[in-house]
Amino acid sequence: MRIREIVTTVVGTPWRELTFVELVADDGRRGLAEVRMVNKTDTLLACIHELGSRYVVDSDPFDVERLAWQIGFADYGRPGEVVQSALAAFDTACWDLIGQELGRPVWQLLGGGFRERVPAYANGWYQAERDPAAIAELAAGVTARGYRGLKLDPFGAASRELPPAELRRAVGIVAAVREAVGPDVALMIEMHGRFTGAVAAAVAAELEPFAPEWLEEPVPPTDLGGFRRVRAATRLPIATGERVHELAGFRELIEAGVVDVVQADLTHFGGFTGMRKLAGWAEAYNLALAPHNVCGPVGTAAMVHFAVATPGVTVLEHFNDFADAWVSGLVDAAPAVGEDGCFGAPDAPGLGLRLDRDACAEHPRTRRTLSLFEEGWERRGE
Amino acid sequence: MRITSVTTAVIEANFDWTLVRVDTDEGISGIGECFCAPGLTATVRDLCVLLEGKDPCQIEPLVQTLHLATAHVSGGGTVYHAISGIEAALWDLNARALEVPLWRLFGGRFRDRVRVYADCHAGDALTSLSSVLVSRHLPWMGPAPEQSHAMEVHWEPGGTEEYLPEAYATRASEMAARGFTALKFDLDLPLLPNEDLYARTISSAQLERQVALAEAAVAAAAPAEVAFDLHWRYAPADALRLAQALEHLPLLWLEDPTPPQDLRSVASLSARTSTPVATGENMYRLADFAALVDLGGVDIYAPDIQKVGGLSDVRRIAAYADVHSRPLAPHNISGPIGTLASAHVCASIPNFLVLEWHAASVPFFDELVTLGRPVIEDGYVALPDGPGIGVELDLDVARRYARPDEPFFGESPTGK
Repeated sequence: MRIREIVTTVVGTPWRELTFVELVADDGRRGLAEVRMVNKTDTLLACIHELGSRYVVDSDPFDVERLAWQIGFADYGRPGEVVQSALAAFDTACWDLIGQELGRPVWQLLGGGFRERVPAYANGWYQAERDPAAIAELAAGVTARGYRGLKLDPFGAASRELPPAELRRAVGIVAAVREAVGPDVALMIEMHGRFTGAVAAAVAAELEPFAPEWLEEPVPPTDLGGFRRVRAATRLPIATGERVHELAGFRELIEAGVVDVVQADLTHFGGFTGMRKLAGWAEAYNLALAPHNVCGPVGTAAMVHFAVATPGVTVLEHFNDFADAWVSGLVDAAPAVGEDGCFGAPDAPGLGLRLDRDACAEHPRTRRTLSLFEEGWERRGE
Repeated sequence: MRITSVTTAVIEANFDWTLVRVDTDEGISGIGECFCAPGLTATVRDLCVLLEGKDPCQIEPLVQTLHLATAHVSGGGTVYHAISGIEAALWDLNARALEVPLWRLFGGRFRDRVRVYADCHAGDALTSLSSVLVSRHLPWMGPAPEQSHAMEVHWEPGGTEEYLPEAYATRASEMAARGFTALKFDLDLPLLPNEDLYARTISSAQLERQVALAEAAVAAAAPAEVAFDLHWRYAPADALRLAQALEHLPLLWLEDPTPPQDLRSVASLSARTSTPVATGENMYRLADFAALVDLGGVDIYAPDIQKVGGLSDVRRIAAYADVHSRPLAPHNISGPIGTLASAHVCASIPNFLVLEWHAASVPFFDELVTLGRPVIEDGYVALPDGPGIGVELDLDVARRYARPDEPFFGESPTGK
């Protein structure tokens, strides 16, 4: 089997753009992948076409390791978020083709399934004013939908500092949400790398009484000293990784012992091939994996396959029940969270879904971006 | 598809080549090889109950089950050897079911032939060791020598005749002429009369002898490269003195200088000499290698693929080593089944240096499999195109060399 053509389709939503990539093989099969590139869709498309014409067209989709080496090593530069996202699209679509060719779901080809249900946690659900009562009401709706976990950034547009009044407000929101969902629902605190180590440490102390599942990106992902400071200040688990794009980038974080929950995003980390290597590493250090996921249905499906096949995965992020729920109509078989708050293990060959190009055409590009440092970002363009 | 049986056979070669076969209700089988160990086939038999009736496509979950079921007895050793062979058999089985060569399931290959180094012994190389390293005489080795070596053990002081520079040079040029681009010799034998086996020291006479042996082998092998093995024998200061005394030679590596559990010493040694240091054959799974890396690591990692935990574990170790820019030179004392499975893994990883081959003295190595050509030609394994590892075991040949006191894939032992 040889890849003959790369077809890209971008779908616009009020706050994100979803890039779908299809690798068309010489037998007519289409391998499918998706990336939700944060604010750089044009750059991603350029990268896909530049690297794809060089390394993907005319290649055998089974040669995913060599593809990763070509793009990650032989191309000489340092792969970052755009390149590793382009590679992820190629790799994921190749695995879809491999699975179709061999008649097996991708998770089985990765070595088999550790679970039939993959727990999901909700994001994108708090499209409201930063009012504790309003957000608590939305949170109750999330658990009523079946989710056993939900994530929240209650810090508004904060950057580096958090004045006392803002801290009280954030704590009030978290307290109200905890009250609304009860003690048994996982409540993840998203910090989006906003703070200095000292500020994040102080915030952590204030939030400990509400038993968050983890503190996510308390400091920018490159601030190792900041992570150490937070680690020393709190017993709460620390999660990070959505802005780490290759294995080497996790080296300091893992070897320094400052991360408990590895959050690499399959669609920004070279796809299955990169994530499998990271998973082995995380297992050796006994760390949890909770992939970051802001994708529509295709990227989500890829991560469900990965989660089924990877022992250390604890939970998978999901937006599409609360933000742009219509994106499930872009494919014929979108992964769905059941009443138990979990995704099921797919059983069709490959990724197990096909892109509906007509449905995509109804949602052209919006060129919308998301700024987490401007007031009102939580409303996600609505 | 369901697993119907997991059975073993042991080939009496230079080591006990211990084979595991997994059979299914659909008639598809897979075969793997384990590094020899005392009690190994009994261990495989005990693990069977966890596998029979299960879906063989569930490779990683089944391996996890085997580890969980044995966590109370093992962080390595015989159980891991057993699991390594079972895991390899499951991968072979799956690739056969999917009708693809194994390397295709491992993400493709970086090379279509895999470089091999020959483990070399000077002098009379025709020896065979039991699973507890007691030398033995087997029918295929010809008439028994007059002086019985039956109770000679590998790690005790022995004769010196075969450990002369001329003997090393002769064997090095012979193996280089066979096309090997890399060789390995032992450099820790024999003990000299004034040395104490238990004190881990290197006398000045021994150091002089070792340097002379190394110089002779390196010169005779060129342009083939040479590695030397120390079998974990020395104290760190003595090993460092030797490593530094060899720095004028372009060694491929110096292997296992200090005891295997002493990770700190080998990492420190590696940092203090320009002689490349390799270790890993007594380490298990990625966690052991991660522990070594946390202490600074060594230059070259040498996991034994039939011992370390399985083919997937080697791929994970390779990925980890690649982050730290270190290559793998997998240790290998297996027969053709294990060697071919290892070659598929080695083809699939970027940071591969060279794979061991320890069976140059075994005349029936190639006869055991139905490849139609030697497994190793001109110092390389050319990967076969067939499904799985790409060959079948020749059952008639295997039966001829099988250990009579061991079952042969479910058939009762034929004798003692």
